[in-house]
Amino acid sequence: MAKKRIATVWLCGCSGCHMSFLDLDEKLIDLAALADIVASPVADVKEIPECDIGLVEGAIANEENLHVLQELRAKAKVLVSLGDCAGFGCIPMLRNQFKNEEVLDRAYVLAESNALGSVPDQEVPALLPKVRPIHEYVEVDAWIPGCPPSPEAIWQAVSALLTGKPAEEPVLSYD
Amino acid sequence: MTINGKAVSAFEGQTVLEVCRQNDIFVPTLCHLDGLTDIGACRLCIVEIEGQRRPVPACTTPAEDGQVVLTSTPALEDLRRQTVELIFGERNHICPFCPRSGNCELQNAGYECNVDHLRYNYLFPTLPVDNSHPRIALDHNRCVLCARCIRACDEWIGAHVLDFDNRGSKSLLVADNGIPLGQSSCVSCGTCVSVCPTGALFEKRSAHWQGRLPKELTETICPGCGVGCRINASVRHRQIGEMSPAGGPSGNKVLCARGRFGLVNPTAPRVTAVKVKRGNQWVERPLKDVLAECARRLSSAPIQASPERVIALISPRLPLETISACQGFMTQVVNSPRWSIVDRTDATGIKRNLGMNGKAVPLAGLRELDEADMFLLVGCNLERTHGVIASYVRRGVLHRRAKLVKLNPKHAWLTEWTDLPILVDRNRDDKVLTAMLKYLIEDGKARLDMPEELAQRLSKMTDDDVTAATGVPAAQIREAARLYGQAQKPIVLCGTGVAGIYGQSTRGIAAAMNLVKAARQKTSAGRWRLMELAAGANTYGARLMGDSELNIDHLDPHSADVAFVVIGDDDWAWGREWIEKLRTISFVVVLTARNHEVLESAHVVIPTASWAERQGTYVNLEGRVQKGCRLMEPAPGCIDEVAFFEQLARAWRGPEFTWSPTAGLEPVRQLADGHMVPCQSREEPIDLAAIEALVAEV
Repeated sequence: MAKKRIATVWLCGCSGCHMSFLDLDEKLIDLAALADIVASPVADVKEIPECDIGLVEGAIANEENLHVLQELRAKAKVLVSLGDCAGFGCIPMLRNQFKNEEVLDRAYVLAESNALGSVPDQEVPALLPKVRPIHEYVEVDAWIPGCPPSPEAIWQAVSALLTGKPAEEPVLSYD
Repeated sequence: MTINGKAVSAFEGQTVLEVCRQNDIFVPTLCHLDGLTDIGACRLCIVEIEGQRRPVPACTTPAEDGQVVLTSTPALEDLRRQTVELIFGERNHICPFCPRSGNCELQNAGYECNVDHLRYNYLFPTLPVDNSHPRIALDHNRCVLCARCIRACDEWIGAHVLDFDNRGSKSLLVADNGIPLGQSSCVSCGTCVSVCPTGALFEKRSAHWQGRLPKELTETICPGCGVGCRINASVRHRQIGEMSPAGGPSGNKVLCARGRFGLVNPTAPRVTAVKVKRGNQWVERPLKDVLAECARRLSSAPIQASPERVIALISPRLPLETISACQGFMTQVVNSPRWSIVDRTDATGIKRNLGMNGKAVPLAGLRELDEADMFLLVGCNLERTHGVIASYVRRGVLHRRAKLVKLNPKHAWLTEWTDLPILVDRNRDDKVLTAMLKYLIEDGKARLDMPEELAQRLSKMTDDDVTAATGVPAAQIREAARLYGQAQKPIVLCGTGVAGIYGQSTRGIAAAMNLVKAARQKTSAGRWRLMELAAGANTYGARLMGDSELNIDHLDPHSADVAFVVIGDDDWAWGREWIEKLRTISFVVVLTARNHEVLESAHVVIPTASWAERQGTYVNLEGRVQKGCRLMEPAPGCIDEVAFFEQLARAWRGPEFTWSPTAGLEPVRQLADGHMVPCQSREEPIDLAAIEALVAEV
């Protein structure tokens, strides 16, 4: 059986979901036997290749997030929402309480650590009006909630997708 | 009726939800809470009933004969999941940083309904967080509009501070008329925090722990006042997380501000070592040396000649076992009757005159407060001293329209609901009560067997005489008597502010007891009741040990050479007057858990356990025996009072001397947790001197 191809992306999130993914520990060896990681934040891949499974960490906060999400959706046969940011918006969604100008001012003008003192108008992707979970933009095939999802929950879902065996009743967790 | 194909029976008046719960049929709920009126707000408990066109909420649908109910069908499951998703999407629910995460009913509903994402777009409302209250935070982002807090604040606390502003999804929980919670009429009992299914209302102090607090709770007794509420405490690393009501002694689900917030994290630092004062300096000494010094002082000639030159002051917040050891040391080892708990309320009168059990005795239990149709408050400052009783009175007045007459009101409370406030000089409230008795007798509502001559003098008093004797217009007293005579189940509540010392009881309480007895003798009904608001958790228990000689005010420091002051971590019952009084005593031994201003007058300090580190027996103001557990082991270095007094007795009287530190426990020895102390006397002698006190004014 040909090895499956997995791509993971890190959008507006804290990378905690990827940390939890790495916490698969010795199961990473089992995973490597079943699949290749063809793109991920830890692999310097400029363009997402065709893949069987796409894992998305993070909510959609800016234009780049949306672009990457749409690209992965186009390339992945199965798109999986990984974690609370991708699935519920979660912490990044706190931004929605404020206007974008307020948020940018806070980060680039009012922040004590920022010597530049002006909102950048290039290189930094433009913010979307509201932070939203990924399924508000593209079709999503499965969700693994959790902040972060436990390695067990990730393994349960990913191994089921790789082997085609039905997953056991998932144990949900929102925190 | 039939539920999910199973034949079940129900009582008339039960809801479908109650019948489901009774038969272990799980139905998810969010806005339902046992003990509150159901409002069918959350729609999670929807069920299908044959013949009904659409699903109905089980919590507000009465069970009926022949009903055929289904609690779980694919359609219902889908509707429930939609409902949960809509609730999640309506506000900003972000589990990972919520203090209730892991213990949240909305989260659990999400898990039960398999919600792994929302199929609806979020509304992202911009909502405020009210952080104005010193203990409680209100985050509207997490509010699910279940109204449990509103109902509990109204139905249980009688405060009705909270309510909704606006309608539908724009509804906003508000305090009073939309002012910050911290500036509102909130009584800070924390009930809203207990009943909130999510993290919308949370306790600030323990919020950062909540996810890591142990699920297992330790149940103990609140030492804050004489009510003796059972509390559940979660403890982690010797820190108390959250205190919640454990449903008792009356099965109620409320605590007061002191019970929930006041007991934890006291600011005074702990006393950690045995110390002796040398000049103005505290010096650490071995316990053995200190015991020798105490023994030497106790062996002095003046004390040998008159042992009553030794006095003891004991906190009524300590377990009975501790009080018994102190009392036993005084009465058996020192032979001095001059010990007292530091509490002016005097349950002796109640104990002696009214007895406890049986239908014929008029002592009010906490449950009776929920049936009363009139409260006569004498010298009460309930919100400050007995917050839970304040809740009972408030809900009685607000919900049952119970009459409220306040004698000698110490401060404005329920002012707009008071039928009759009687302003009277604190030392004359007993006379007002006796004058009420006079009018009740005249109206044929009461009868009291008293000597003919006294009865005549009482009846001959004119309204002007009454006004002159009491300083209160006679018309007011007549009105109070009328309200009292009309009531079906009136309760007289005597607070800590009743008129001063009279014999073995306070005058005010003696007069109040006469009033209750007289009304009972006429009507022969068991509905006239009295409650004396013991200030200490164990005031009643200590009174059972027979300290009939003494009240704290009887102790004269000038005739004492040695004082033992046993306070645990009591911090509120002490007046500065006693700190001053103790200064005149040449040797003061203080057994305390914390640094306390009384140490200014002390010569020896012994470190003892804090309330959380103690276990033992308490007797509440109903006369109910309750056992408290310790929440944590005593801090290192603490010396148990019982051991201290045992060792002191050996050091002073020699190893052969025998005494029983547990003798004081005799009245409660056979009584299990929750049982009532049995009736002491079924005689109900009237207190003629209280009546004399009024007629003597003519």
